[in-house]
Amino acid sequence: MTRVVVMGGGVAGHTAATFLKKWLGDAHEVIVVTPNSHWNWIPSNIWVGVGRMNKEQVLFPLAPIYAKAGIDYRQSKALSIHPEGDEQHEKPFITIEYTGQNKEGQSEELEYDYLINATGPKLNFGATPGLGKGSQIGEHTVSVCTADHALHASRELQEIFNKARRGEKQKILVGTGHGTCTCQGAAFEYILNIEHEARKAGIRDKVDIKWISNEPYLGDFGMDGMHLGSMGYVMSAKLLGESLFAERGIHWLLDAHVNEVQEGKLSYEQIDGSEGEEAFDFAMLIPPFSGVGLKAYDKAGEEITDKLFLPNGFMKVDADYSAKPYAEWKASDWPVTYHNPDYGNIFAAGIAFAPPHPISKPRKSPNGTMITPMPPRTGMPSGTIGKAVAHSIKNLILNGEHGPLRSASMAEMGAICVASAGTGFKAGQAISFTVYPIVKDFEKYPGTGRDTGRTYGEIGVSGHWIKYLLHHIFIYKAKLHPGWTLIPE
Amino acid sequence: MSIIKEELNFADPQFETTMIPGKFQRAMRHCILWQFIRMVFFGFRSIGIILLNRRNERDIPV
Ligand SMILES: Cc1cc2nc3c(=O)[nH]c(=O)nc-3n(C[C@H](O)[C@H](O)[C@H](O)COP(=O)(O)OP(=O)(O)OC[C@H]3O[C@@H](n4cnc5c(N)ncnc54)[C@H](O)[C@@H]3O)c2cc1C
Repeated sequence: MTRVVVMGGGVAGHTAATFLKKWLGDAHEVIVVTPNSHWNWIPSNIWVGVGRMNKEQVLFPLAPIYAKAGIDYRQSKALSIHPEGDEQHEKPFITIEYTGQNKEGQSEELEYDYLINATGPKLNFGATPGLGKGSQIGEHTVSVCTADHALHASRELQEIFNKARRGEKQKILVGTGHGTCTCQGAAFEYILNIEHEARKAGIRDKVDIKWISNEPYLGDFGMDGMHLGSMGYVMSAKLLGESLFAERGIHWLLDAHVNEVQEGKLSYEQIDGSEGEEAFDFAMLIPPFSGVGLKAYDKAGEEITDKLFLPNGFMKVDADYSAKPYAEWKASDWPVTYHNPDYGNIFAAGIAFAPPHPISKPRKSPNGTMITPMPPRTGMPSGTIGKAVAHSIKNLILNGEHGPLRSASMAEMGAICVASAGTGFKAGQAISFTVYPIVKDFEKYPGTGRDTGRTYGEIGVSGHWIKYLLHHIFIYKAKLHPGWTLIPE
Repeated sequence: MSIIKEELNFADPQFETTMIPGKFQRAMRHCILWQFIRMVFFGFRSIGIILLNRRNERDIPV
């Protein structure tokens, strides 16, 4: 019996574990190690953050789902990887520390034959003074990265709206809290939803809403922007983003690295080295992401973390990590099968794998501060990579060491995204777009780096309906209801 | 003559070079029938991307 251990029960890990169990059946063991007791449909946190959904609508407990699937679920966090075993263990193993199941604080060593690292991001609030400590959010700003954060954000937002109703002018700031953030899309959705709610509440004239981000231009999204076909035109996401903000009277401040947050104000540095301050009554700032801080040790117990991970904590896979200038970046730098080059039985999926470099142009201020959006790894690629990794491991188990491995390069993968701009069956809006490929390939598409026939976007209430449907479809799939395997990632 | 309130935003230098939907476009964004058609259209586009992703998947011998 072969044992596969999946670290992380989010989008990538849950997809990988559930497919593996379905394909391998009871002949082999699948264990999920994840600290969370509930699965979170993270994209809908935006709606929790404006009070349009409650927390329970975006969460469901994992234990019954894994019990039904026959997956061994350990509510715990992985701490270290020992890919060569040690004196006591012939086999490779990981150490875990329980966070639930009445074993809180207890540690365990878990041997594996194959290991998937799908631990997602550490929300690195601590990288910006005043934004938080370590992965804990501070008290000056809010976040929508987890369901709890979003609920807190929603309560704070209601306070701001109540003050606005009383005629007090309020200032709302939304964006990124560091020069190397990714996930601008989530902040973009949140600012549009806040604006939508403020208009619905009749207090739009009382709230000044402003965007602050590390992007060089609106619509960069850490993807070096995009050019979208739309209703017979091809237009830049910059024009689309700016137009959406102009229509809604939202101002923007770009190229900004937030270097400190205090009560009611933040200071920032821009790409030209200039510094400034922004005051706010309410701020939602996405933190930078890093790896979750797993350590690795060899057979003798010597630390080999740098063999498995890049300094940012993300896991090394089959990418080309050699340092080279933007002009030499190629689609082929991106990983294809997501296995660790030194340990072929370890894979990384979703946000946990280390990208070879950003997609957006790297930029530094004259003071040497990096102000460059990092590449997003959204739900669709995370799920697709999770499934491809599961496929590879299934092949290795059933066919022997020659596999084959399944490819899922982000440079050969398209993504479907729906960015909410407000809720409501008739009044809601969202921008529905498709991007192909996610990572630009200037050799194949010398104009914009992408196929503009397949990179497409439009805004309307239909986008909201799609986003709402996706909420239900993906929760249905994650709960493994009948036909779940037919629903694409 | 009725004006579109948002067009006043063009006076702001940050918004000057953008585009703002006119009345017709604004109505179409919320027209149930048209938006249903757009949803179906986007559904087909999405299926195209999913099929393309599947086609691009390769098996690579170790
Ligand atoms: C507010 C918001 C809105 C978003 N909206 C969209 C959207 O509309 N569309 C879209 O495609 N994407 C969206 N995304 C991005 C999407 O959520 C991510 O791409 C996706 O969750 C990444 O999947 P993942 O499995 O890599 O990480 P996650 O889903 O974060 O899962 C990581 C898992 O690992 C667990 N873990 C952490 N540490 C450990 C450890 N030490 N040991 C074991 N397990 C550990 C975590 O508890 C978690 O369960 C959004 C993100 C945010 C924050």
